[in-house]
Amino acid sequence: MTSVRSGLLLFGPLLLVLTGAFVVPLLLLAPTSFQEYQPGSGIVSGSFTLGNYARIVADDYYREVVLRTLGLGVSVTIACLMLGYPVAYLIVRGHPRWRLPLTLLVIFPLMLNLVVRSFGWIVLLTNRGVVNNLLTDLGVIETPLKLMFNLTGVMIGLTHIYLPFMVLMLVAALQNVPRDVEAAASTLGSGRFHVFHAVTLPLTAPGIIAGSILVFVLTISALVTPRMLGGPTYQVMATLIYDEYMQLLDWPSGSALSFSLAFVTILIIWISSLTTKRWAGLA
Amino acid sequence: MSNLTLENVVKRYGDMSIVKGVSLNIGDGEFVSLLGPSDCGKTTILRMVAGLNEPSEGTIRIGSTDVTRLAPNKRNIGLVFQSYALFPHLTVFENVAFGLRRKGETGTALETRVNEALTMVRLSGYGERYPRQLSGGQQQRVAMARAIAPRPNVLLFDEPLSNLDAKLRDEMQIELKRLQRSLGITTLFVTHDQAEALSLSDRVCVMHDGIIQQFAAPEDIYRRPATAFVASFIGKPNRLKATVQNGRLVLGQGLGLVSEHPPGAEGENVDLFIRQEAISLSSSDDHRANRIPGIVALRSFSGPQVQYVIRIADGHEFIVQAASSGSGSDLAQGQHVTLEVLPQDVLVLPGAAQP
Repeated sequence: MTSVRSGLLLFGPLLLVLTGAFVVPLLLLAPTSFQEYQPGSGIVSGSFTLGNYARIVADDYYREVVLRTLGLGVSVTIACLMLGYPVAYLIVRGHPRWRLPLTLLVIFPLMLNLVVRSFGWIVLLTNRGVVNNLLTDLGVIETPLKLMFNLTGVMIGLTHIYLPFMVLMLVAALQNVPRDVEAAASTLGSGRFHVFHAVTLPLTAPGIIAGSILVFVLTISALVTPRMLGGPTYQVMATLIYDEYMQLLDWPSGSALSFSLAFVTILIIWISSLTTKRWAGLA
Repeated sequence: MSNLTLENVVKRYGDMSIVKGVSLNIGDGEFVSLLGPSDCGKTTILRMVAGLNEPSEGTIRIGSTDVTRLAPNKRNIGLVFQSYALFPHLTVFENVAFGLRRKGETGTALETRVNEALTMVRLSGYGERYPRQLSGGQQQRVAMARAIAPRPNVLLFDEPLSNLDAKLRDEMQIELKRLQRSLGITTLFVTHDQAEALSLSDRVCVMHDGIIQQFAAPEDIYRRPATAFVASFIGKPNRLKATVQNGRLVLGQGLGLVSEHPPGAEGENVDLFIRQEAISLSSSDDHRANRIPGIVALRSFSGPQVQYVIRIADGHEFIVQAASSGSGSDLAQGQHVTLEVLPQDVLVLPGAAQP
């Protein structure tokens, strides 16, 4: 019993903060999402409707934004994984001399403000930005590529911003792979590629899944970068929710969107944790 | 199956030589142990044979094939790690099947050979379990089954028993020896445990500081150590300094010993090694025996054996081991005794060599 009590005591402060600052406001918001909103007059008191939720699925515009957000989440996650795994591998398995500089390089962007980093990308990606000017001067293209206010721009920005999280997760996972186990595979006739495929990859699965969940959740809830690189017209769920609340003052709709986003996130985390267990043989 | 040859193998890391020119030949089906203290280069040699480290110089041959620069997966070896190194994400069956699958084995043939290997290590019926559901001893046996299943040319063991508790270790030793005998696979076994090396091997290779000290049958290693290092490393012998005078080994204070082993040149300083178990405390009629009077300084009882510390006239202390069922087992502290050592048990090696 002592362990339960000391556990509660240890967990208590965080529990209080989370309950007061997060759970209670969220629960207060729940009824709002079922209320009707009349443009011009605001929330109709005493009303009850499922319309706010129905619209997310039924309305073409909302549906597009939801699917775009999920698609963006998947794309950014895959991009981070593809770019991050080789870096993590190099950090863990490369020459020890390079470990610290490489790790610092990975962490360094995290020390810069999010807005500054997104602005950096605007400078690079606009129609008359560094990338387009360079390509035009080199004669590769004649008219500027459209790199902003679309999926490309948002994806580049988000991949860059969330890559460090993925790399750090993968570094931790790779460090936990015993070298002996890989050596054992090679003495049993596995070539380098097969060792990676049959041993290293499955043993880093928990890290891959954890990193992917982290990046996916951060991506679908990202606000600043999609707003700056997507502009006012290329909406994702987070920017849409922001606009519903702050621009249109349609709190019921914004709340419904928020809960949907939270629901999707929880669902994905749940499914992923099931997959991890099965994949890594940890069930 | 084939023999394993190392020719003048050297391994350097930067300026440090870990292995300094090792040559040895292990016959077809022979069981050889590399025995030595930690950092003597024995594991490095094993890893070079496995292809996990590359020698700086020299040649390694399995059978007639030069494998010095060959990748580990092309060598057809089986390696059992100290950490077992089982694949945690695969079942016992898949662990054992791993090497066989790499050789293109499938279907019922694969199943038969995996089950064969599991039966050999007495683990049939455990195929569906995961390594973490097994005890340390069982994991060790899975590691062995995995190594032997693809029928390698050479089996390598890297201190495979050192993570097991004493009782299990003894059981596994017997099992391992029986397994190796029945398979007849050339085996290189790395250990720092002398009892393990002596009891398992056809021949033992004692290493120190990257150099082979002696490569001989266990009995020869024990009875006729080639260097002071081997003499002091095997067993825990009493070590004495002596001078050769008139064919006798003089300790000082009028004490002297006679040895059957060539004592060295007149006037030379030599090291004497006398094993604890070679000293008798009960008087016999053997007229050849060396006799030294002494006093019991300490007695400690450890079950099957009693250990004494005996102080002799010049202040030197001998450690003597007696069977607790024997006659010399109940001496009291302070009692006067006579140490008896037969000339064949006094090992003489050139002095000044430090182990």
